[in-house]
Parts: sequence; structure tokens; C-alpha cells
Amino acid sequence: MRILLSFLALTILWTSCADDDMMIEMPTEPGDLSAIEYNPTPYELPQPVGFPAMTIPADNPMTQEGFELGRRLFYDVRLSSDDSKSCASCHLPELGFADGQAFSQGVEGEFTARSSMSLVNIGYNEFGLFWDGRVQTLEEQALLPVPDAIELINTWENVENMMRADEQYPTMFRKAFGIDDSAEIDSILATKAIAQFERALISHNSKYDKILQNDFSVEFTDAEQRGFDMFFDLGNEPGGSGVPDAECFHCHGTPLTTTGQFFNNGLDRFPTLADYEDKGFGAVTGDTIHNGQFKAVTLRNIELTAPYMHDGRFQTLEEVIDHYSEGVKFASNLDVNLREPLHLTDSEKADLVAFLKTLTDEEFTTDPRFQNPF
Amino acid sequence: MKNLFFLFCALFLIGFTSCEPDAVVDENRTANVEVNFKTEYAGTPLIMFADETYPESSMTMRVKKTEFFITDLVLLQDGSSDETELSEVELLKFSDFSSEEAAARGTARAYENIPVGTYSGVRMGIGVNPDLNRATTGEYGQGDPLGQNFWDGWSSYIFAKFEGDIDVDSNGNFDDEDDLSFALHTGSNEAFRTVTLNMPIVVSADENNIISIAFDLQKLFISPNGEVYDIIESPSSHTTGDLDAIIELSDNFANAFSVR
Repeated sequence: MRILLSFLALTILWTSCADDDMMIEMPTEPGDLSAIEYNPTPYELPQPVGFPAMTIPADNPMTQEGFELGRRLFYDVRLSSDDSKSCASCHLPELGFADGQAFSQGVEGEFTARSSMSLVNIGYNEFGLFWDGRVQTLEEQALLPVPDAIELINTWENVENMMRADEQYPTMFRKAFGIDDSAEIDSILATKAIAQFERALISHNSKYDKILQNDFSVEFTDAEQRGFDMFFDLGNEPGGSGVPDAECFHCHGTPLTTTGQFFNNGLDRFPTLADYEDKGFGAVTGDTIHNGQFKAVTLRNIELTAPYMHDGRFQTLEEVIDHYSEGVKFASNLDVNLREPLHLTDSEKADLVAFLKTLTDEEFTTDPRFQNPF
Repeated sequence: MKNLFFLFCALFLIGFTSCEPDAVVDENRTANVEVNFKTEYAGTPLIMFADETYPESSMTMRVKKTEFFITDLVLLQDGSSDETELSEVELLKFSDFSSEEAAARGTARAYENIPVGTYSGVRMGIGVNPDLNRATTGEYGQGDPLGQNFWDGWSSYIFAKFEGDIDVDSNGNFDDEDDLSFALHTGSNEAFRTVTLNMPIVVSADENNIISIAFDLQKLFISPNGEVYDIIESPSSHTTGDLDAIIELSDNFANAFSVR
């Protein structure tokens, strides 16, 4: 009987040795990952027409394995203290990676101070992340929501323990970053992976893009064309349609539909710049000339990311355009292009909205690569 | 007589030596050069959001944004067509200089491996030269000066941006009905200008080599023949319809630089 069992055991071992992957992935000690193959595949980002080449940090190159790990972490509710929320809770693909709320609710029901920002084309950001630019890199940014007292209210120590004990994460970290032991899994690697996933969120297949790319199967409607001319101040060029300048492109220039910089767009009036309740960029720089300035967001997929502004005060694109047309309030650091009321007609406003909706990219929002893997 | 002969020889040698070219550049020895760019208004540091008086008027002006491209910044050699390139393109931004200290400090660019010697001056293009202006932002990476400030309507980079507010009656309020903001942007090949600033510049292997280039914004509003730009009539320049204003501003702009 003992001989029979030994033979059976040898047969099983022999059979399992025949499967190289199985053999390689057998850890020799708890936490030891060194037997798992580490051969990351470069992740090729698209290079859309007109887009600048994205800057990728030298210490966090894009790999397929890093992207997949980042996607899983992005959607993992175990990053929160009560397993109820993940990054994706405030950044849903179908809403342009925003959440449709003026303020986002954290795990205990508290609300964030500002509206969730879209992550569309976030890898191209240059001048600081968040509405106030307080963080420079996606890796740094991804560290913040986990311990945030309103958002995920967790500790990275808890999350690290969860990732190390998980069935899949140790192998994924090994394949993404070449670590030898699951004890090496930490917040730094986790946020690198999340940053890789976020850099891949490139929207470049809207109707507007296709027209820019000379896809002759697509063309603007008359209303969209007029809106385009208003947006880019082309109406008064020779042969232009004569529509007025809506002054949009100063802050929302091509190709990203944002300069990424900070502006006071006349939302509120205070006696002096020092009186702003939410100082925005000024709270980061410490310079009052920046008080009340907030980041100009991308307008790609803007149709999906209502409500608008840092505090979600406008529910619709029509309300936003009404603001820029007649509602701008003076401040000494108001962007100069917004000072004069536009006095757009209802028809002109509708044209502008029609153009803005050509920036919606359903191929992006429904891309299976960006959806929840759980 | 013998003394006179020696004196003559000495004078001859001195004269011979002084006839050698002033601009001697040693390509085999190099040093680092820092160029410090500053903005001024009527000769004093230009502080953003500070009150200035618009030329030949009683209007108060606050400048809120000043930024511009320069291209092909080179050091010139006297009596020679040789030149030493310092930089192909720079986007110079002064809009955060809201204190006297920051304005006086300016913004610096450092250039390495510049041959030591004596140069006769600097030359630079004001704006983006026509070769580079054929490109678009998509041909450059993030952070590259040419990865931003593109003007779609003109298929050109925005060469310069000067923005601010005018308190027409100088009553201290900038939002009265007759007050205005200005947004003077230039661009297109017609607006490109080349500036040559002559001044002996010694690049030494042993010393900090700092060249100061100042731009006086007041001169943006005054033409070389003394005409003042009509900012009430033309407070913004954004379209081809504004080309006359852009040409006038570009001519003034090229006259507003000095080297120290």
C-alpha cells in the first residue's frame, strides 16, 4: 500500500512537472514569489493625432501587467475601511470617470469638499492634479484617498496586508514589478500600478476627433459647426460663419481641451481676493493672486461629467454657458477673456452645447479594458 | 636716439596687439552661462497685479499675465559670422511674479559647454521662428515649450500673451463700466521678429557667467517713433482681423529688449 501511495505521489509530481507554469509558480516558502516568471510586456499607449507624447516616469514604465494590476486595485472596494468603496466609486467610466455628484460621499457618508474630477486623459496633466494642483504626479495622488478621513478612511498598512494575503495580488505584483516576496508589496507599488491604469485612460475617438483625423464618414451638423467656430473663435476668420467668439479655447485649447492651468472663472464675488472661502490654487501657492483659481478641466466627455465646476453648482451644460454668457462676476484675478458678457442668443448657446457633445467618446467609456474586473 | 627706437618698437607692438580681433573664442575651453530674463515697466521690475500708469495717460494698469517665446538665442562674435547657440526655444513666463523680489529676480536659464571668450552680443527671435512654427503641439512631449500655447485659428503658436486690467479713470476700481481688460496675444509668421543686442559679453572659465536680458513692457505700448498703442480701441488681439494690431505690437515688442 505504501509503495502504491508513493508511486501515486511520484506520478502526480511528474504530471505537475510537465506543466511548466504550474511548476514555476509553486512558491518554495510562504511569500516567496521568485519562482514566478517576471517578464513584463510593454503597454503601448496610443499616440492620438495632435496629442503631445505623454511623459512616463522613468521609475514606472507602462506594462500590460502593471496596467492590469492597477485596474484591479482601482476597482477593489477592499481599499476602503468597510469594503464598500473603491477609486471607481467616484470615477465611473460611464460618467467620464467622474461620479455625477456635486460632492462625493465617503465610506461613512461624509461629503468631500469638492467635486470628483474626471480622469479622462489625466496622464497628460502637467501643472498639478486636483482642482487646486496640490499634487504633481498620479503616483502621489493615488496615495491620498486610502487614508483620507472622508474618502476611504483606511490605512495603507491594512491595505498592504490585504494585498499580501490575497490569492491573486502577490502573483500580479510579481509579474508587474518583479518583487521576490509578497512582503515587498506596499503602497508605493500599488499606487504605481494605479497610475499606470490611469495613464491608459486616453479618450481620442469622439466625433470631434474623427473629424480632426479627416474621417470623411463623419461630419459636424450645422449646429455643431457653428458651436465649433464659436468655441475656437473661427467665426470671424475669412470665410467664417460670423458667429461670435465664445472665448472657450483660451482655457480649453486643443488637443486636450484644457491648458491644465488655473483660472478664476468668475463664479463668486468677494470684496478682495483674500476673502475667498475656497482659495483653490491660492491655498497651494500661498499667493493671494491665485485665490479663487481652479484647474481648467478637460472638456472631453463633458456631456457625461455633470454637475460642473469644483463645487458642482451647475447641473447642465446650458447652465455653464449661461454663466459664461451673462453670469461672470468680477475679481481682480478674473481671467481677462471672461470679463465682457458674451450675450449669446439661445440659438448660439444651443450650438455651443451641440459642439460640446461631439467631445463624447463612447468607444472610450465602454472600452472593456477600463471596466470593473471583479 | 636708441631710446626713441625702442619706444617706436614698443608702440608698434602695442598697436599690433590691439589690432587683433576682440572676439576671441576658444572652442577648446567651455563654461556654463546663465541667462537671466527680467520684465520691467519704465525701467523698474514689473510686478504682477501692481498699479502702473499706462503710457501718456492717467489710466492705471494692472498686468496679470506676461509670457512669450524666444527662439534661436545665440551669442555673436565680432567680425565673424560664427555664432554660439544657447537655446533653440524657450517659453518665458512671468505671470507669478507678484512680489518685488520675484520680479527683480526674473527667470533664469542655464546653458552648458559654451566656449569661453569674448562675444559681441546676443541675437534672438521674438516668437517662434517660421521653421518651428510649422509644427504643432502634437510633435512635442509634455513639458516641452512647444507642447503648449498653440493657436488653432491661426495654425500658429501664440508667440506672446500680455493680459491685464485698465482702470480708465484711475479711481481705484477696475470694474467700473468704462474700465476694461486687455488680452494682447501675438502669433503667426508675420509677427516673428529678430532682435540683436550688442554688448561685449565675456564668458570666462573661472567665473559665474550671467547675462541679463530685460524686457520693458512699457515699450510694448510705445512705437519706436513714439506713438502710443490705443488700448481702448484695441484691447484684444485674437483673430486675423486683429493683424494690424498684432503687427504694431510685434514691432514695439522687438524694440523693448536690452542686455546687461
